[in-house]
Amino acid sequence: MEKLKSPSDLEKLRKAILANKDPKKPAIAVCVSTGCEALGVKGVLAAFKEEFKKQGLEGEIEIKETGCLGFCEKGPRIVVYPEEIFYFRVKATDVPEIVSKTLINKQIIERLLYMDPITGKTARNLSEIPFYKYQKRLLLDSNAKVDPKKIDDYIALGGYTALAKTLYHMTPEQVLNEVKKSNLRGRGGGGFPTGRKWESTRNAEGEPKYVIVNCDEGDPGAFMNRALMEGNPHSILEGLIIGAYAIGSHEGFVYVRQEYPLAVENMQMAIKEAEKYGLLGNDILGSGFDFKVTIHKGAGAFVSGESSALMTAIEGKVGEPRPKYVHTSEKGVWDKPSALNNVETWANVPLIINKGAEWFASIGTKGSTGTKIFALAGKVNNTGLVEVPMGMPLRDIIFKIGEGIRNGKKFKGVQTGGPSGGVIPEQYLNIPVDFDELAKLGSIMGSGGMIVMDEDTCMVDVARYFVNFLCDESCGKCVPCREGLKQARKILDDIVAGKGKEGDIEKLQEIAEGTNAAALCALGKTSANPMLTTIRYFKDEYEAHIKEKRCPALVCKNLISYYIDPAKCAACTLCYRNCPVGAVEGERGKIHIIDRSKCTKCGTCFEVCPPAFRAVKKLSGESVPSPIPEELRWKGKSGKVNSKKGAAN
Amino acid sequence: MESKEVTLKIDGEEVKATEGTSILEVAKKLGIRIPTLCYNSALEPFGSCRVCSVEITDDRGRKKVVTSCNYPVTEGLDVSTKSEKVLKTRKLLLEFLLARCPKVKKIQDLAREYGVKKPRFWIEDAEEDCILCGLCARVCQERVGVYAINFAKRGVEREVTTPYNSYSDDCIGCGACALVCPTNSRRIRINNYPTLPEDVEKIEQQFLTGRKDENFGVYSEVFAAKSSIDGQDGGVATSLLVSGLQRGLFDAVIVVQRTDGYNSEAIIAENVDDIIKAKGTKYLRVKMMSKLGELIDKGKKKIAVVGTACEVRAARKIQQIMLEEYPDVEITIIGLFCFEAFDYEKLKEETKRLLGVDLDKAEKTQIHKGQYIVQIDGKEYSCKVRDLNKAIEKGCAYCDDFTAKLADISVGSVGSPDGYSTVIVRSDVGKKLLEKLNLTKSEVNTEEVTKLSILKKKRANKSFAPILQDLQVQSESPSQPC
Repeated sequence: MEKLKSPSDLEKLRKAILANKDPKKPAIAVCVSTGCEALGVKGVLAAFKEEFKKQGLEGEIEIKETGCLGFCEKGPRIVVYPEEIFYFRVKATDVPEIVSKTLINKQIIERLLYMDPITGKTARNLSEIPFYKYQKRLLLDSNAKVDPKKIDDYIALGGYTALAKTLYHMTPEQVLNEVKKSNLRGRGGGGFPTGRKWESTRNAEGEPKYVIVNCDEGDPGAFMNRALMEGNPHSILEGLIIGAYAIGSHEGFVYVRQEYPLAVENMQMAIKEAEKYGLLGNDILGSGFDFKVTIHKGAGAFVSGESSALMTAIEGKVGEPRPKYVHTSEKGVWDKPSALNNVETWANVPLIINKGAEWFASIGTKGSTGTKIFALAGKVNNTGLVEVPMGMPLRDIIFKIGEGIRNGKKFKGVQTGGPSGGVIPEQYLNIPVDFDELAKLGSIMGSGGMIVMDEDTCMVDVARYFVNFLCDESCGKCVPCREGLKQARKILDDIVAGKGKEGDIEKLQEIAEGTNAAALCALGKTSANPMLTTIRYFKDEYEAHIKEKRCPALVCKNLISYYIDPAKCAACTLCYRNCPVGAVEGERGKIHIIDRSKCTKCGTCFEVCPPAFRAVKKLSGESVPSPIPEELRWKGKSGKVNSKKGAAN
Repeated sequence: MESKEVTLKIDGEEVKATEGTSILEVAKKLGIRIPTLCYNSALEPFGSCRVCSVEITDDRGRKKVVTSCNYPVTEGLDVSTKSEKVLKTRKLLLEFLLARCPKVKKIQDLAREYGVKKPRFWIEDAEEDCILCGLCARVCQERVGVYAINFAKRGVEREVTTPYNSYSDDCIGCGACALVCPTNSRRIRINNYPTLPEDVEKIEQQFLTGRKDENFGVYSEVFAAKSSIDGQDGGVATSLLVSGLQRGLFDAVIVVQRTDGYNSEAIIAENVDDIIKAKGTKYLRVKMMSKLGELIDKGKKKIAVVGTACEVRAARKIQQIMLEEYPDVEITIIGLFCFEAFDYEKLKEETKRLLGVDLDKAEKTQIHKGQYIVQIDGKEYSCKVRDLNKAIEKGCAYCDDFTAKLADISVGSVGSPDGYSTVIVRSDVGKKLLEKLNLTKSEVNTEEVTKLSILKKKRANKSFAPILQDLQVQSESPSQPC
C-alpha cells in the first residue's frame, strides 16, 4: 500500500478500485455484525464457502462481510447481488438452495424473503419493507455496502473525499463554520451544538488539544453506536480527522467499551489501514496536517459515557465524573482542551462537508437537523435500528416503521433516552421527535434508546427498573445520586410490593427535585427523569398501587393473584401439569383450583391456558373468589372415567 | 495565569476576590459559614457531599445550584448561601446521610441544624458510619502519596477499602486518613492501620512496659550491644531472631531479604539459614503486611516481624484486632530505627548519579552520621544522605517515629559506638527474647537518638500542618442555627 500524497492520489485510487469491480458480477453480502453473529451467521458464511468449493464457484462469486442494517431480529441477513435481493433468517441449511437457485439460476426463494406479518406480502428489497420504507438512512445505508475491514470499500463509496476537501480547500475556520451552519447537535445525549463545542476547544488555552470519540454506549437496549463502529468505522474516523483539523488537534482517542469486541477490532483495523494510506499519521494526504488516534478500551462502567468521567478514564484513573465547573471542551483530558463527541455525531461530519451545511440543515427540524438513529425495542412488531429524519412523529416511528404493538395489544408509553430519559404517553405520540420537543415532555433524546411499552406494562415497575439500573451504575461519588437513588428505590420497592404509603409520591418527587439540583454530573441530574415522567403521566397508576394495593397492569407480583374461573376451566390439566410448584389441584374432568398458599405467582398457568378457554385470570385489587365446592368440580357425566385416566397419567 | 480581581455578591454583600477562587473560600473570608463534609483546603475539592451547595444567578437571571467548594468566582456573580432552595437541598442531602449513618453525631447535629426533626428516610439496620466523602483516600493520595486506600465498587455498593480488600502493604499507619475523617469512621479498620495518638496510648498500655520518654517511647532498658554475628553494626537484630527461633519462641519470622541486586522483599523464614541470609540493612520499604496475613492464615501461632516504625505500627494494629479472634497468636515485633526509607529504583539511580556505582553490587549499605555509604568490593563510596531526597519513599515525611516506639525491642545504629547496635527494650516479650543471648554491651549516646527523634517529629508536624489547619477551623467554629 502506498501513501496517498494528494486528493488526486485518492481519486486515482478510487477509480482503480472501481475499475476492478464489476457491478454485474454476482456476489453476496453477509451481515457479520454482533446481532447476526448471535443468530448463527458464522455457520451460514462457512456453508457458503463450502458450497462454492463444491460447486467450483470459488473466486467466481465474491462473499462480502458487511455491517448491520438494523433489522437484527430478522437475522442472519444476506443480500444477493447484482439483483439486490434481501434474504432474512437465513440458515446454513438454506445455503445450497440459495447458491443453486438464486445465484446460478436467478430464481427467488420466496420463503427467505421478508414477509409482512400483517399483510402476508413478501418483499424483495428494502424499499418494499415497512421497517425500511419510512427511514432515511444517511449513515446506516453504507453499512450494507462496505466490508468494515476493507478501507478500499469505503474509498470506493467516496470515503475520505470530505477529508481531502477540508485539507485542501477549506481553512479550519471554514470547516468550523460549516459545522456550525449545519446546526449539527451532539448525538450522545445532551444535544449540545457540535460547532460551538469545537469552537470552544479551538479557542481554549492550552496545548495539545484532543478530540475524542465516545463509544461507551450503555443504555439498555441501545446499539446504534455499536452498529456504526462495527459496520463503518472509517466514517467515524474521517469525521474525527476533519474535526481535529478544524479544532487544531493532532491527537485523538476512540473510547470504546471492551464489551464491543468487534467494534474494537474493526476500529483497530480501520486505524491501521488509514495509516497505511497516509490518511492518518504525519502529513495526511500530503497536506502537512498531522493527526494520530489511539483506542482506549473502557472497563465496563455505564457512567464512563459521561464526558468528564470518560476523560478521567482515558487518563488511566477510575472513570468517575469530575466536580469541575469548567467545561471539558476547555479543560478535559489532562486538563487540556478536549472535544468529545458521540460516534454518530462524528459520522455525520463527512456528510456535512461533502454535501454542505444547507443540505444537512434541510433535513429534520429547525432546531434539530439531520437524521437520528434510534434503537427501537420493546413491545413493538419490528425492532431494531431505525434512522429517521429528526422531527418524525413518534407515532410514525412506532406504528409505521415498527408496525405497531405486538399481539394486538394497546400502546401505553414509549421510553426515550435511556435511564436519563422519560416515558411518553399516548397523548403525545404526534409530537415530532427532536431534542427540544422531547425535553418539553420531561424526557430526552439521549443517544437514541426507544423502548415501546404496551398495556401490560406497569409504569411504577418501569420507574423501579431504571432507578435500580442507576443504583448499580451510578459511580456512587455524590450523595444525591447515590443515597437519593437508594431511597427512591426503597420507596418504589415498597410501592410495587403493596407497602406503599400516603406521601410516597411526594417523597419521590422531592428526591427527584433534590437530585436534579444537587447531583454532580448529568447522569445524576437526570437520574430522576424515569420517575418524574411516570409520575407526571401515570400518577393514577402509582395511586392505585398505594391506595388500593392494586396493579392496574397486573404486573406487580405482590399485588396480583391467579385464579381459575370455574365457568371457563375445561379441566384439561395443562396448568396442573405445568405448574412448577404443584399449586394447581385438579385432574382431567375435574375443575382446577389454585392453592394460593403454594402459588409463587410465576404466571405459568396463565401462559399455558389455551386461548380458547382463557380460564386463568390475574386479579389485582379485588378479592379472589373462594374455590367452588368440591362436589361441583366434576365436569359432565364422563367425568369419573376421565378422572381415572387422569390419575393414571 | 494572571490573577484578576473580580467583584461579586454573596448574600447581597459585595466583595472583591481573585478570579477563580472558590465561592467557599471567599465566603469564609466574609465570615459566612457554609457547611462542608468532604472539604479540606489542603486537598483538591472533590464535590461529593454536596452540602456546601449554594445558589448562583447568572447574568441572564437564571438560577443554578452549585457546590461552593469548587465553583470559581467570576465577575458579577451573585451567590446566595441561604436561599430557600439551598436550605431545602442541604436539608434533603443531610436526610439522606442521616439515613445512611443514623448514629453519627456530626451528621445528627448538622441535620438538626437544617431543621430535620424526624427522619423521613432510613435504611434497614443502618450501622454505617462512613459517608464516603473520600477525604481519607484523597489525603492518602494527594498528601501522603502512598495510595493505600481508595474507593472500590460503584453505585450504592461503593466503599473505601484497600486493593482487593486485603491487608495493605502500602499503608504506613500515619493516621492522616483517620485524622481527616469527619465521622471518625476510619479509626478502626482491619486492612489499613491509621495510628493516632490515642492508638499509640492503647498499644503502649496493652503491650509495652517501662517508663515513657517523649523521644524514646516506652522503655525499660537502653544499651549498646554487639553480637557474635557479623551483621549490620552489632548484628543484634539477626541474633535476636536466630536465638528466638532456636529457643522455640517463634515458628516463623518475617524478614527482608535481597532478591535481585539490592532490590528486596519480605520473606517468611522458618530456619536459621534464611534469617542469616536476610542480615544487613536494606534502606527500602517493602511489602510486608500481606506476609503477616499469610502466616496467620496458615495457622502459625508464634510469629516475629522485623521492620521500621511504619511496619511496626501496621503489625501492632493487625495484632490488636487479631487478638480478638485468635487470642493464642503471639507476635513479637523487632523495630528498626528509621529516618526515612528509599525507593529501590530511585535509590539505584541516585547512587549511580552521585557515587557512580551500581547499587545492586553493594555488599553493604549504611547510613551513618548523615552519610550514605555503599560498600562494593571492600571499597566505600559515600555522599550526604540529604542529597538522596529524590529517592525518599512517599509518606516518610508523615511519620514521626524514629525509634519504632511500638516494638518489643528497637534496634538501630544511631547512638552506639562503631560495631555496636543501640537496643531499646520495651516489653516483657522483648526482655524474654534477650535472655540467654550473649551480647557485649556498651554505653549509648542518647542525645544522638533524641536529636533525630525530634527532627523526624518536626518534619511530620510540618507535613501535617496544612491538613490540620482546616480541621481546627472546623472544630472551632460554633454551630449556628439557620
